[in-house]
Amino acid sequence: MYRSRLRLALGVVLVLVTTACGSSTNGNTSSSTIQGMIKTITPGVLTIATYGSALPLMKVGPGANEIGGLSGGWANAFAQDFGLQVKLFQTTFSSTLLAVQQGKADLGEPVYYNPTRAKTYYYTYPVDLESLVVFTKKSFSYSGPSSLQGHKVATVTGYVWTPYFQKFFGSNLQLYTTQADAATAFKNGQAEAYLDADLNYFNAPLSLSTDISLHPVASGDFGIPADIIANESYWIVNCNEKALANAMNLERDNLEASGKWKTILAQDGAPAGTPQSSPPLMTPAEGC
Amino acid sequence: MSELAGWLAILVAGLVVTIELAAWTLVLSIALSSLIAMMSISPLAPLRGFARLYVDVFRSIPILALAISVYYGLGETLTSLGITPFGTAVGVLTVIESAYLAELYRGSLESIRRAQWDAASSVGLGWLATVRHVILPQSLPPAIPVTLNMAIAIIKDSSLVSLIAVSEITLVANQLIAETFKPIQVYGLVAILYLLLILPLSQASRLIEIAVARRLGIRPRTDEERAMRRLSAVGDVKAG
Repeated sequence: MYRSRLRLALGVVLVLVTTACGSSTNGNTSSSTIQGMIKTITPGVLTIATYGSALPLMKVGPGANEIGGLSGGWANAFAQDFGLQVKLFQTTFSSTLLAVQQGKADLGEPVYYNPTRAKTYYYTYPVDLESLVVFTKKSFSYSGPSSLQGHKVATVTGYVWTPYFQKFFGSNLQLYTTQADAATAFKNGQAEAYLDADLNYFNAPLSLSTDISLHPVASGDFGIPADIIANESYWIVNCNEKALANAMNLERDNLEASGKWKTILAQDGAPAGTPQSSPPLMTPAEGC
Repeated sequence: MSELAGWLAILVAGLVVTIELAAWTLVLSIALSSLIAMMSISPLAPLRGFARLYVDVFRSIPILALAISVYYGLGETLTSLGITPFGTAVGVLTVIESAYLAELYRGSLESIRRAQWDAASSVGLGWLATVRHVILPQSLPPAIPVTLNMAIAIIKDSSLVSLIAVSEITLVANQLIAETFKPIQVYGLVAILYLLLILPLSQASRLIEIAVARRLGIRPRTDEERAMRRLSAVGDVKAG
């Protein structure tokens, strides 16, 4: 009873918000689901493109269509309230972006914001805040970006930082398709540094390894501007599916108001001591 | 237009890596597969057995599975030996492609009639001398086009090693797509660059076949002669 009332309330608010934003819900590849308010690619199914686990942000698995972590908890609550079944489209980071762009997935696992992406994707509220760090072995003498020149460095293809790294490191940059591959190569010693978000320290294969050092990145390091060193991660939807993003935001507001977000934070699955952050519930400058 | 030029510059840099990768792989594959093919027609049973085993094993393993398991599974060993992702890719591609090429070379060697071996033996030539002076000169021309076909296969297979951080054209294209969100356009350019690389190779394959045949005093068959030969072979089978 409560759930059906909640669905109705969310639906009504969604219509108002969507109308107020002047957004269109072009359903070129979609079919109607709950009360015709939000549309998903497959009726009754919320297809989520994922690029792997990164706790506390996202946990993929253990089941084929199971997700956890902060963003997983949010999406699961949304799917439950709207009577949708979660289905994962597990792929690489860059293919996650394409899957959402091309209408193969309703939602893309949270990614960072940049103005170019904002022309292609509509962003939800942020899930968490992450910072770029340099991972090195403790035996490596790191004294800033210049100390990495001439050394092999690993990162992941498709990141907002990657073009800056390519300019800075040239042929010494090793690009991997997944975080797990890049971190494994770093751990194996195939790269002397690994450039990625701080939360990777808490995930396999690094898994709080005691022989690894994390070095913060300052504004201008590697030529990266200050505004993309620390990034909030946002769910992304196709520009034509703004209503879905708005419904996700309403769900998030509801989770906050009902206190359920605290439960999701407590059950994020990350190792004890993993820092958590809940940025203000605001959408970035949308470019769709 | 400037955007296209920028993309091309990035993709061509990746294509250069692809060419280097394919060139190293081809050279090493020719050497290794020649050895395996010679073993496979050797009079010594253990050598024949080893060649058979090599071909069976490495034709059964997918390139991707071998590349990932070697690169990530033996990561620390590779690092201690100073082997780069590029070196790992060349090694993995070489062992797999050699298995296929060795079979093609074996077929080429075995296509020489038994009478030739007997004739060489009757004039006192040993196995090695027979191979060197009688068999190889005749089996070389048909081996050249198959080698160039393998070169084309190697160029295309090399895209698989993008997963072990070799910045060949596919990996570079994926990064470009992640920045531009224009997969059709980027992959379209990649396809054009592959075509520009592979079409001349196909043509070169024909020209080299003719040139080598002329040098060896063998007139390459025309398409018409090939068709007639096929027909007569069918007729022989039916008559038999």
